[in-house]
Amino acid sequence: MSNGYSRSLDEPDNSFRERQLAELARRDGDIGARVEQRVREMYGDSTSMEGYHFRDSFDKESQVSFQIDWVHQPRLRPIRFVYRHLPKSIRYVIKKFAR
Amino acid sequence: MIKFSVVINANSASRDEIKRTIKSLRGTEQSPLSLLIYGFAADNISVLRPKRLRAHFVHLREIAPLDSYIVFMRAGDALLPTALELLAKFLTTRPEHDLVYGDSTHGSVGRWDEPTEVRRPGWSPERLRSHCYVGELLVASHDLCTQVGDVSELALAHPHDRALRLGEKAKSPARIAELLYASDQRHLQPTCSLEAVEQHCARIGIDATCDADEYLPVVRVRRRVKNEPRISIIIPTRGTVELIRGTSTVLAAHAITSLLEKSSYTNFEIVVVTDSQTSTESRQAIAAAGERQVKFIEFSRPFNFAEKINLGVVSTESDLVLLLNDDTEIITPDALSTMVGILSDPDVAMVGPMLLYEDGTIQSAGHILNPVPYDLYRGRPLSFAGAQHLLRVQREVSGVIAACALIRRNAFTAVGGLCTDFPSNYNDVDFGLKLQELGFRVVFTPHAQFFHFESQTRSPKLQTFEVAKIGARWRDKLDDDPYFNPHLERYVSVWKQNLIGQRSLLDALGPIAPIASK
Repeated sequence: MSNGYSRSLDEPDNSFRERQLAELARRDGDIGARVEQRVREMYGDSTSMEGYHFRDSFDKESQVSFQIDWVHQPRLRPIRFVYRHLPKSIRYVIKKFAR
Repeated sequence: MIKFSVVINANSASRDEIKRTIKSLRGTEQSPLSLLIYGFAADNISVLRPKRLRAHFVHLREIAPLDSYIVFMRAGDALLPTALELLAKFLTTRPEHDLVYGDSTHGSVGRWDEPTEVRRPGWSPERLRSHCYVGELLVASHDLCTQVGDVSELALAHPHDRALRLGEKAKSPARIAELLYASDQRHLQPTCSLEAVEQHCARIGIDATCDADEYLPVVRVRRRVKNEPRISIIIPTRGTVELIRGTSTVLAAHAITSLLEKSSYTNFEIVVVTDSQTSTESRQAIAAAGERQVKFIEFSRPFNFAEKINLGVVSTESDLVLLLNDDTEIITPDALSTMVGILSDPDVAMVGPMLLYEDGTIQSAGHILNPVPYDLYRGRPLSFAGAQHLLRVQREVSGVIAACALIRRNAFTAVGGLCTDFPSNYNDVDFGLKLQELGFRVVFTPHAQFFHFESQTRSPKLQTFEVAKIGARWRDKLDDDPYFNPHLERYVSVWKQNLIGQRSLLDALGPIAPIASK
């Protein structure tokens, strides 16, 4: 390094690094070719992820899953009240049909 | 034809509980060959002698079953009618598996409520040391039981002890993702036995101290680290300056300062991979933070996170490499020693910690692929323990986020490092799957914690070519993550019962859902 911020460099020369990086790329390519072949055998030529629901963002909120809580909206309070005071068997039937 | 003997631990079980189990055995489509009941008072035998079953009420060490597979059950649990048939089919097609467990359904809180299902992940030996996540029903081959010891001892052992003993000797344990039994127990959380874990560690040579959690039934195994192997910490950075807790800070300098000040593990070198955008001021701040122990590597190509990491790793020589984003901060002082301890298991190639946002909510607790990669329980508070205490136990995962991951160098080299075809996203998902492809395990630990402020270190937008590449390589694995369960709800970052699927996943997601029928 020429910026003088590092204490002792001790680093391998660039060509050695390049060789190591090339070796990493070769191994990655070997594994990649093998697994891609396996996927092609399983799915045929259609190996695209079309139809899968990838989220297009990695923002903080993008993967957060919340429970669907529509039942607890304030405007549904009267309905909740009525539901809770029904006999259990009727509630059971309602639940079954709701599914 | 596969034959089964059912073994029940009736110690401290009531007559009703045993009756319930026996009744369920009568109703199975494939009858078990024999039933062995251990630890039951002799005067109740005549009352319970089952019809159509060759039953043995065993006094200890009297009878050893000679059948192919032994089903261990808790008295009170009911075998589902199709369970033995499913198991027989599974074991006929895959006879290499000598230990099998499955999912269960549990009694509901109210009489009219639906029962709750417990869906279990694939074989996860690290997790088994924390609690008995495999449940109370285990199917083991006769050979395996013979290797482990006496069947009567296994029958009467704590379920956690039994699972650990069988798991130690099993050549190929497997999970069958089907409901096998109904439990009358209403609590869904796995049990644990501290004594069983301590004995297990002693048997297989894990040098560790084991502690039971104060509030939850989980055990923490703390491995002792000998000789503190040297870690090369690779920090790729652009020299970004951002606000952390209201103060404008050079992110990489902040990460280095926190490591030097807080970490109880001190045998590491810091390698910062900078690029042409890194300003002189940022370099000076990083060097000052590192007390001039920082090694700088210049990356002169267009931005590619994977290339930067690979360059950093080949520029170092330590056996262990920690990939660390510049927007991180260590929280638990023993984080590095906890992670190094887990890597003392030669099969484990990568360990990831719990990552938290600045506000203390969870950023990453390991990946789940369901089928797109998600950080489990992202955005939930740290106090949340997760389904079946998932967030309180060390466990195998399909991948961890590369923002902070400790990796064994030989494994990194063997899989060819990070794939440079993923410049921004999914290089860590690909890397974890490559490790698994070569037979390594990836472990997540909640006992090592870092903040991850998640700034502009990568493109926040997903690139189409990266999605195409991950699909071309790993579509089969994305569709069937071994540490997930195909019956859980997909396309969410939580571990929950698939209520959509009960209606119709196709209806819920629309006709383009590609795996709706799975």
